[in-house]
Amino acid sequence: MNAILNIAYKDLLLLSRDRMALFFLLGFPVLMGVLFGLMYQSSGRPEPGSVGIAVIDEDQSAMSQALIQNLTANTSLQVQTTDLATARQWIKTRKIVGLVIVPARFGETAGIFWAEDPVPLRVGRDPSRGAEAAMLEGFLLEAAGQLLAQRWQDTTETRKLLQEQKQSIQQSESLTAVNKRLLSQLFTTVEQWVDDVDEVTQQAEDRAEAASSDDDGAVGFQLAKIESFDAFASEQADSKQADSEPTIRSGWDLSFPQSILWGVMGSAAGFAISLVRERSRGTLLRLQTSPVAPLQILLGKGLACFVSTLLVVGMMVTLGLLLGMRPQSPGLLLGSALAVAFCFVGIMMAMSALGSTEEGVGGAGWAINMVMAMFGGAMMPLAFMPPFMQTLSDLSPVKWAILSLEAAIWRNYSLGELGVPWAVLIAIGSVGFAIGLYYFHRGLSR
Amino acid sequence: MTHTHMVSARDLHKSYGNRVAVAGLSLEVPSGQTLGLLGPNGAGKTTTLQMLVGLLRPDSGTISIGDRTDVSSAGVRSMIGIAPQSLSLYEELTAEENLRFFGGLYGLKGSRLVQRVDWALDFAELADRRRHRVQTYSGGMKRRLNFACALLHEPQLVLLDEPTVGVDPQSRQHIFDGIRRLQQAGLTVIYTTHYMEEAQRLCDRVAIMDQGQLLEQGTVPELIDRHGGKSLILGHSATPPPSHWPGRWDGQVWRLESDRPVQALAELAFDASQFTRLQIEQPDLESVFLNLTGRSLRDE
Ligand SMILES: Nc1ncnc2c1ncn2[C@@H]1O[C@H](COP(=O)(O)OP(=O)(O)OP(=O)(O)O)[C@@H](O)[C@H]1O
Ligand SMILES: [Mg+2]
Repeated sequence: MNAILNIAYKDLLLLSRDRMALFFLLGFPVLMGVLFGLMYQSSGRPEPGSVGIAVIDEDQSAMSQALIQNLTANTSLQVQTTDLATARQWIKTRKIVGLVIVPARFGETAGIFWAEDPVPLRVGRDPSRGAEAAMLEGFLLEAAGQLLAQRWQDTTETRKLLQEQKQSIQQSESLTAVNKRLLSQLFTTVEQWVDDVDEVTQQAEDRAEAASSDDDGAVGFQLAKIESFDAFASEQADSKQADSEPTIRSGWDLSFPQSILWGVMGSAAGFAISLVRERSRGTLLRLQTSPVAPLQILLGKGLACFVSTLLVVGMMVTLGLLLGMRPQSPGLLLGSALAVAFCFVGIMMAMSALGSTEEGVGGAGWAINMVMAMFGGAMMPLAFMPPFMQTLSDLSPVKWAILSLEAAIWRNYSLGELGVPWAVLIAIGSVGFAIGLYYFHRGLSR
Repeated sequence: MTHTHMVSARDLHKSYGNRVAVAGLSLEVPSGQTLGLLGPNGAGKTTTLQMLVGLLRPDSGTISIGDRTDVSSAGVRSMIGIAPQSLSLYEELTAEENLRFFGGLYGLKGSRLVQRVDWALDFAELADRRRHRVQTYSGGMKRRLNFACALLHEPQLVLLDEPTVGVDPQSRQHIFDGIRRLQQAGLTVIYTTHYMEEAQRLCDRVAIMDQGQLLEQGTVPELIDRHGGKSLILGHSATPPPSHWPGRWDGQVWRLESDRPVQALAELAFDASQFTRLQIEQPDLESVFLNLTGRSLRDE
């Protein structure tokens, strides 16, 4: 055990000194997560009209009308105006998720964000459907999320970052020509995605403009103050049944699982390369002539890869939490993270058998990563892909990994439902481990 | 059972595909002695060492280390330290981190590990650079560290594969001093090189290899006696030697080959003022190699 820990510690130390590997492990997933998160903020909303709300307009001003119009323009919402009593009844029968009271004199301060004592919008919600009600508030408060988003929607920043990375790849001394070409291509692809983000953002802005074109005060509502209350008042505590519907509460829910996978794949490729590097740099010779067994050498590498994979997941989840991602089940998320890490440690070991040079393994490893990512939904969500690709995706470990993470973040799976994805991940990991061990042994006993 | 031989190898064969690297090599190294394995590039020296440490499995033949034949077992591995010909270091780590890691592989830990790492840093004269990454070291410093890594766990048998390749005279001297310390401590050393002066200077016994085979082995004087051939006497003079003298005169230099050059000169009762310069070239390992193979050892 000491030998395994010794090797794992050494490998993590080496990783911490390798700026390129660190970027693929930590920087790239963040970049992808934020980019895609922004894309989904505008396109990845729930089914059109799936969230029913009622609006009680006590103000009856031009401003309150504009607010209702804006809410109606949001395709995720199904908006009806009515009186308070009816709205309460609808909530009880679960016809709607929440109600919005636009109080009298709301129009006077609406849109004036410097107003000293703004009249708050009051949101009444069904406590048992907290998630959807929270989403409703989110829609009302879109401005908050946009503050962060705007920074990234200014794609010049992103482009600059990508350019810099491309340059440092070109100048890197540790990368081979083949890997340089491959990585440059990857970055070019990301730049195209940035173009897509620009386009989607532009469309969203156009839509927003169209929706508010007849009332230029619309933007002001985004800054409205919101107060929420229990729409059941204090009259009951009956319907405590948990909601097991999948609930996507933000674009981060969608973008983070898939971008975590980029870090995970980076970790697998990086450690596969480092295993081959031990051979090409001669250090394997020392490992092999020491009393440490080949299995321990592999387990040490595997442990380092496992730890760094968990590190990626941990970092992304923390970042997600800061941005507003709320995993439904932290416990299952941990379980999924462990299963994903195990699977990709196995994949790493099999990858290391793909060649005998760093270039060979690096090139083949990333090529396989790309294919797994494409069919597994790490480049584009599965739902957007043609049916034949969705069928093929069952073959990609990336699909099962993303599914496991999503299951715990927003799909609301039970432990039982996670059995299949976890079992698939563990099976793939075990096969990879066996392949890696077989070839490692074969390479030793020439 | 006591063993007088630290290493004995019998009839080793090893081929890579259809290229024969070692063909029927037998070798014995008495405990506490230093064996020089001398041979030109491609002779099979590295292949031989790698078989001795269990890195390569011989196609046939037997090896025993001490009184054990299980050369790949952890027990035997702990007895051996190897400084490979190709530097085996993590360039991105510091000398200290490299040593700590390699020491850990041999089960060293705690204060014992700290003590051995300090010893090795001293040995390699790298104490002041201990926290610098290996990639910032000179070739000689890397060689010295590569050597020190082999000694961390206090092995009984040390295999040094061309430990002086690409180092300046100062580092080379340092490495020689290190080897002397090992010899004084009673370690058994196998030292491969294609520099005959090194073998002549450091080794108790020398084994000469060529094309996968052992041509001869013995102490340096024995080998020279057996295969060195005659010494050459060179007398520089403006006037020819007396006509009854043996040897050849080319107008400037008189040459005579002899097994016993001093006696030969004495018998001629020559007049010292006869020569402007008198030289006696004695055979060395280079001549031994030349006589054994018909080729020069160095491939310049
Ligand atoms: N991994 C290998 N694959 C194929 N052939 C090899 C391999 N290693 C060595 N050889 C061949 O085996 C023969 C012996 O090589 P070896 O490295 O043992 O020689 P050496 O005496 O150590 O030479 P040098 O002084 O150059 O280090 C050479 O012909 C070499 O080309
Ligand atoms: Mg060699």
